Amino acid sequence: MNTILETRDLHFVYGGNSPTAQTALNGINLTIREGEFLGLIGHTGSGKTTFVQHLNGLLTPISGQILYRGEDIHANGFKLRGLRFKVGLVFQYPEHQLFEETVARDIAFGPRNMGLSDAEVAERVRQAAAFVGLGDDVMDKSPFDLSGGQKRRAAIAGVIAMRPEVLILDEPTAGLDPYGAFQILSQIREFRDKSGSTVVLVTHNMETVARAADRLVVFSQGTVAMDGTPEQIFGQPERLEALGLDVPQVSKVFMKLRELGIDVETSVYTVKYAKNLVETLLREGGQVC
Amino acid sequence: MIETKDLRFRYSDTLPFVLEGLNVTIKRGSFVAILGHNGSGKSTFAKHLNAILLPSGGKVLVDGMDTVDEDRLYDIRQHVGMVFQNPDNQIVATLVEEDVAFGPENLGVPQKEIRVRVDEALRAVGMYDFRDRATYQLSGGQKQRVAIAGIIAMRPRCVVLDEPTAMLDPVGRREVMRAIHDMNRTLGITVVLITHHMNEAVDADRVLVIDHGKLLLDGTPREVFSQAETLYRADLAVPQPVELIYALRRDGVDIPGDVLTVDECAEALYHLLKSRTNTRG
Repeated sequence: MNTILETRDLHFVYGGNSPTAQTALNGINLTIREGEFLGLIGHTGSGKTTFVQHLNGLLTPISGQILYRGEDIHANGFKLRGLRFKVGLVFQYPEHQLFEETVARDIAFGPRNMGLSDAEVAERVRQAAAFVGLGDDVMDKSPFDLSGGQKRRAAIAGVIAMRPEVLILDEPTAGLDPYGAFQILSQIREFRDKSGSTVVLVTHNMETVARAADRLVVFSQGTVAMDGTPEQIFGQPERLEALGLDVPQVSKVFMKLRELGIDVETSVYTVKYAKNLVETLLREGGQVC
Repeated sequence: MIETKDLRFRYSDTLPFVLEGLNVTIKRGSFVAILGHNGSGKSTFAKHLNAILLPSGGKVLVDGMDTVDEDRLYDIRQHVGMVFQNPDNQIVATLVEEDVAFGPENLGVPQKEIRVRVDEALRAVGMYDFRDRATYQLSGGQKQRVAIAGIIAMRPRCVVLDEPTAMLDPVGRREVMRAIHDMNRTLGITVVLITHHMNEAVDADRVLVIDHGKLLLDGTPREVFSQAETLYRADLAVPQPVELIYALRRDGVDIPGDVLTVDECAEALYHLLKSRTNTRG
């Protein structure tokens, strides 16, 4: 897979030279490949949000580089405005940024700024709304009359309508109930599969990310602490707990089983996988030490 | 004790009912978790418990006081405190101890007594060492614990918490849950916890599940979570250990169904796998 975004030794400090200066990024080297679904996890203050705000040039690093398809985004002559259409960022609680009179106009705001024709804008709005599961019946409503979950979807649709090559979502399921979170996540996954876009999902919810991502990167104190497939990452539950992250409960069940002397793998992170594993063990007569 | 009798509510005469006749009794000193998906009516229910909302039909009684009785509003609010989802909306002062003192000051509590209450409340939530910190420097979990301390300092009999951990990370969530349990156990304050984190409901004395404005399930966590099928139908998840055992049983695996926690689940799987090998090997 081609590299779409790359960061080299990225450093960032909040508060500059003041006595309260806080280092947020401490040398991040990360390569994001075209078309992958990357989960970025870490506890509060680990630098995840600061990092993604560098990827479309909202924040400028104090040192290090961000390369988009091999080009330094802060080099002279690089068009940052154009980059923001290609790298779409959905902020935390994006529903706070809804502002238009109707849902349709709110979703249209991004593509309209790209200078597209009315017909093209209308088509993109329709498609983006369909991706996030908003029906025709809500398109002419005020965004402020929608439920919390619907507002969240409308805000995500506004970014999807720009058809970004990279879609970055910062805690898209925060504050939603498990069903609402599952729905939004499935829709993002479907958007990725159909559009071929790259997705970066920032979250501290391990059970959410376990179901969706192809690759997981764990941040800690402004550095990359772990990087691998979900199996590789969830196979180290003790390490995750030490980094202040929640290990899915089903992983804990298998950690406990090992403690009790049953030789099972501990890289179990979904209930479905756990069920299949137990049933396989039963068929094979188990592997008790 | 809080009692709702056939509680019905709608936001206006032309809109459908959000609560459709709820009969619930909450015993003093208990820890009650209320589950329901977004839009189920659980937050609307919670807002009736200290007269933020008033019933469209039926009654809410707080220690015998009817919440529609305006003369008792002050007493009701003092009996039942509320903590909301967003910690940033609940902090009013710039210093931690000033924030906690805000409630008792408004109740006209004498200065000396306020000092005692503030210290006691901050200790109860594990924030005493932060008493002279600026509130803006706190993490989300710490702010939420300060908000809880602010309620405790008003010496309520009951605290209603509406998704107090929804905006927090796992560390913050653990801190806040510990503070809520300590408040219930050591100070004897009744807790009504609205949540959609199933894991937070597992440690409650009692779990109520609200769906479409009606009471769907009511029982101990073990009783409620054993109804996986019913919970799924109400768009709710069950804790992962319960989900795993349920999935195995559905496939015909012979394993006991009354499992709730990680340890119980591991224990049950251990016996299953062990007995199976013994008979074969």
